[in-house]
Amino acid sequence: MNPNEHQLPAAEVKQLFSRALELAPAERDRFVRQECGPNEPLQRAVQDLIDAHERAVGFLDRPTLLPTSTESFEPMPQRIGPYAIARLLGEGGFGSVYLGEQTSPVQRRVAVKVLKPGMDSRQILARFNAERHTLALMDNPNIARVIDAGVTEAGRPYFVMEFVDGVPITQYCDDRRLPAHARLLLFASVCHAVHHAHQKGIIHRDIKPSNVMVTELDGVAVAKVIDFGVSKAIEQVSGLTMLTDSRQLIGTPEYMSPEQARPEGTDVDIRSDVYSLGVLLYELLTGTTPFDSKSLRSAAMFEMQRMIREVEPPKPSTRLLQVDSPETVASRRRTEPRRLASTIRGELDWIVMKCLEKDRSRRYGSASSLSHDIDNYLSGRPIDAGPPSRIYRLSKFVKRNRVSVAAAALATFGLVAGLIVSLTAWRYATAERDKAAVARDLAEQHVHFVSSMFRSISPEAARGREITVREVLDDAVARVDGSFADLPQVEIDVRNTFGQAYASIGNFARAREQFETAIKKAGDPAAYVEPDTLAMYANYGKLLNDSGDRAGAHRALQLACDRLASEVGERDLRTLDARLKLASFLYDLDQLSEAEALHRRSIQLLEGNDTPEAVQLRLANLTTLAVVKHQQGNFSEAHLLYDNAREVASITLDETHPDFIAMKMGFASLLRDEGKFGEALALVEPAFQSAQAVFGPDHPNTLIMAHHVGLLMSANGRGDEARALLDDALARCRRVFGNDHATTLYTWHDWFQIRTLARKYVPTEEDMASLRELVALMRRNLGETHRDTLMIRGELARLIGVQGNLRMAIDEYRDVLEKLRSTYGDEHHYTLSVELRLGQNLISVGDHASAEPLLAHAYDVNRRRSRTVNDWSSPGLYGVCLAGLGKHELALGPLLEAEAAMQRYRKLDVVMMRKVAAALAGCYRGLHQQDKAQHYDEVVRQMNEQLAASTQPAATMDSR
Amino acid sequence: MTEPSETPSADPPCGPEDAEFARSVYDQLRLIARQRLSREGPGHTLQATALVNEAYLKLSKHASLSQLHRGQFFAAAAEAMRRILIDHARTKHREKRGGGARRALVDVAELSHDFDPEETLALNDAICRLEMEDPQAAQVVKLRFFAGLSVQETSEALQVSERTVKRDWQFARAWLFKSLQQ
Repeated sequence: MNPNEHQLPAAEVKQLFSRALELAPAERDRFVRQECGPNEPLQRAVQDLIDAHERAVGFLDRPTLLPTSTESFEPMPQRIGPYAIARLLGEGGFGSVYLGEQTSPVQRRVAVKVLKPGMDSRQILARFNAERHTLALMDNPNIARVIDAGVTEAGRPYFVMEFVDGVPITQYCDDRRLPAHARLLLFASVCHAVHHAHQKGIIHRDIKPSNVMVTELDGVAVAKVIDFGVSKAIEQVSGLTMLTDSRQLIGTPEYMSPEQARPEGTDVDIRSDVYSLGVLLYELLTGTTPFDSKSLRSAAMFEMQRMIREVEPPKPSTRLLQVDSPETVASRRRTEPRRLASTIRGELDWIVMKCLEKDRSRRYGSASSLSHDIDNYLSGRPIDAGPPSRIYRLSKFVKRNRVSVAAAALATFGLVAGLIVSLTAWRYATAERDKAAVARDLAEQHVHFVSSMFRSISPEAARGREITVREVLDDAVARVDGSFADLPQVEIDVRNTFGQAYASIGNFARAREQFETAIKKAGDPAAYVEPDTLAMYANYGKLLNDSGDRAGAHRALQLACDRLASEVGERDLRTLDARLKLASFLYDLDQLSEAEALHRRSIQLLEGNDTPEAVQLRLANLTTLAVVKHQQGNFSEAHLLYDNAREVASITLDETHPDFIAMKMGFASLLRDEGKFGEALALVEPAFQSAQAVFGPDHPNTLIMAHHVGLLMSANGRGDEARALLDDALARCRRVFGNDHATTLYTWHDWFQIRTLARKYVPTEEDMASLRELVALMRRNLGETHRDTLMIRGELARLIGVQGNLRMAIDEYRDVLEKLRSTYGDEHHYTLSVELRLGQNLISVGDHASAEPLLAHAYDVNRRRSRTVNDWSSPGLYGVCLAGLGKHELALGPLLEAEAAMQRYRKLDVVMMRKVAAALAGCYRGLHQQDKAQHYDEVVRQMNEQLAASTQPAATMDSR
Repeated sequence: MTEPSETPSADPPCGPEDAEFARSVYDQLRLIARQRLSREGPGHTLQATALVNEAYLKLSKHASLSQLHRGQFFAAAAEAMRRILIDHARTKHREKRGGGARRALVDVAELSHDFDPEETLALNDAICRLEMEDPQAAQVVKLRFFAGLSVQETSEALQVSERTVKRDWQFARAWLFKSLQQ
């Protein structure tokens, strides 16, 4: 080839060539010379091509004919042994598979697998016959039976199997576009089948998609494992696991376990099948195998064996994003790449990677423990496989208890006891071990302790009477007491877990006991150095905040944050987690700008950290910062933050993840306050529906959403639906969580709110009794001074007022107000809100004079915080009060402010608008401005009309 | 997942592709070819065009493949045919060099007057070189020669005008011819 050609612009050569061909052959020469001018190499290149064109007559004129490799070109046999052959089903590394007909003893279709020449047929048959007995023992609907074996006339061994009219499992799943969840279910049935065979002592040795066929029986997918017993017969005789020539492999490298890939060995046991099952699961989830087929197969034999034995494959979620077309893979699983990755990331990754451990003693011990862990995953229980860190199980435990399991069956507390025994036994062994091993064991034991405690309340564990999480916890705690004499750090960690668990089920008193026991063990908090102890102390701080001990909470949280920052650094997730708690505390104190600063700093520090824990923290910070901005009345920024949070959440979390749900709930309440009821509902209703479908109606995640959704339905004029939803949700909460669980209490609260929002609602005696019970439970569980206790008491006071017993309502409000002031301070928004309500009631009984200072205070504070921009209650009521006192001129300012704030919300609060308009009319009349007075008379009339026409309940300040 | 002996991956790829999809097209083509041959016995030749069309009909029944652009299918089919051809040529080539006796079985490809293992391998190498210089022209060759597409079908598959296909084809043919002569 002319070396100069490489420097020539290919496009120019091509262009000149094409143009020349458009001319008559005789003119081409001149054209080329003319176009190329003095550029001789170009001219030559074009000319060469034209010459080639003219000489290439017939070249590539007809499409290729298909050749096939010679050995596959053998004609199809008519019969193999006693079986009539109908057609070729497929061909594989070992040979060909035909569809055959058996005529006696029964008429049935069979698959006949004929091996390639070159294997010692007598030995293979001898081997097979030796196993025949065992193979006959296998009786499982998901295993295709091996019926017979023999030798063809040409001396080639064949196996006869039950014919499975199906397609390989991977293809089936892709064709049906099965989502990950359905794939897992199908895969679990494969595990059961493999386990069945293992119990009979039969190892498959060659599990791969083409050996797991899926067929449909009455529309239900049934997986069938084929070839059981076949590979062994072949392998053991040939003595070759892998190779015949450099490209001719026996066995399937992608699915081959490291021990199978050892050059010397056939040391294979059931865990080799577990490995191959792991590869199959990997492929079902990601559409690809752990090792890229191309690189695996293009490698030399020893290199390939080395890869299988030594190279750590990427996690499925990582691999997923490296494939050529993640979109195709995801769409075959009815989702998007990011969402699929987030579904797989974490637990499914761990399950798969546990199967793929190089050291088989670290894999699942059996196919059934693998399927068991998949069941765990599918039902939301902690899985056995795990990342190196113990944080996961604890957080999972706590998370599940935050939303709580409750309706769990009574189970073997003996399991827990057993673990404590093993903890104790461990103590004696520690002496000889080095420190690192001690730490590892400590972590291990702890994890086991906690997760087994958890497992003891799983519904499958027993089907006896229903017990609550609380009972389980109480029992576990009783067993822990005194077990940790020599293991202070374990005790601290376990107590920390218990404390959080109690707090999450709303039992603050017992939570406090646990934390305080841990603190007693750990000594002076100011001297804590162990990060986990400090994290525990932060949890304690959060609990103090939740139970209303402001000063204590501040001290604990501040100390934990400072100490953690200096011990493990600002960027450490434990520091950031403690800061998140501190920020929430500041938010509760209404120190919004301080909270904001903390959130912003954390978000900044989390930048670029893409571990799941970090992303989750970032999401939590974004969400709570959004709530802060919402509270500050900066709706547009809150909106932006929610958008951002939503993006983060949708990359990393499933729609039904509690943190995702929390974000949506916050966003929905912003949208509600922006008057976008429809959008708000549109945000949470689908999530709610998918939660119902995914988790079932009784699942905590579903129930937590129910009351939010109910409130929004009601705001969208779907009051009846909302009431029905909440009736149902409340009944379920009571059954699932018990009557005094926090979620039950909040659902109960909203159940009330929706009932009472209905216009002209007059509470029945039954309702009042129910509310009193609710109040009593909250007082007991959350404590007298908890803000939610106080808020529900406020609700009770309001209803007492609605019933007409205004004096009693006022007394109740006064008591609540006093507690709020002393616990949360004069300027907390709850304090302000109760001041407003009390003021409103005082106005109703004509005691404007007592109302005035309360309303003036609330109005001043809100105004100072620029809250009145979007809050009409405080200026409205204050103005109404002043008008009632005859202070017309003073009243005008707040009243007009309220009117302005309400413009956007007029549809929302007709009742208040009417009050404000009436007061304005009165003031203008008092100030002798008749035209303005008449204008407001007209507004009042309109409001009256709207009230009469409207079936929509008015959202009031109570819902703000 | 196909069995190892006929997995084409040992052959270095020539151009980008969706590996998984390509594999299923490859499998399908081979299976169709074998089924036909086992039905009709030796002595029949298989036209690429007919095979590819049958494979398309079969694959397009799969839900997951039906949304595929026809062009994507043809590209994969052309690639699969190329590989089948190359694998075959390699086997033949080895047999010749190793001096092993020719099998008694007559191979279809040998019924084609212009099939020669060395030539086929050389053609393949040339196409890979052309691909570096002008990927589209190389693609046109693959579609037309290996998958048997007409000019019109090629233009649909590549979503370019027929005129462009013709130009690319002429250019590629001349380029390859010249390259093989050298």
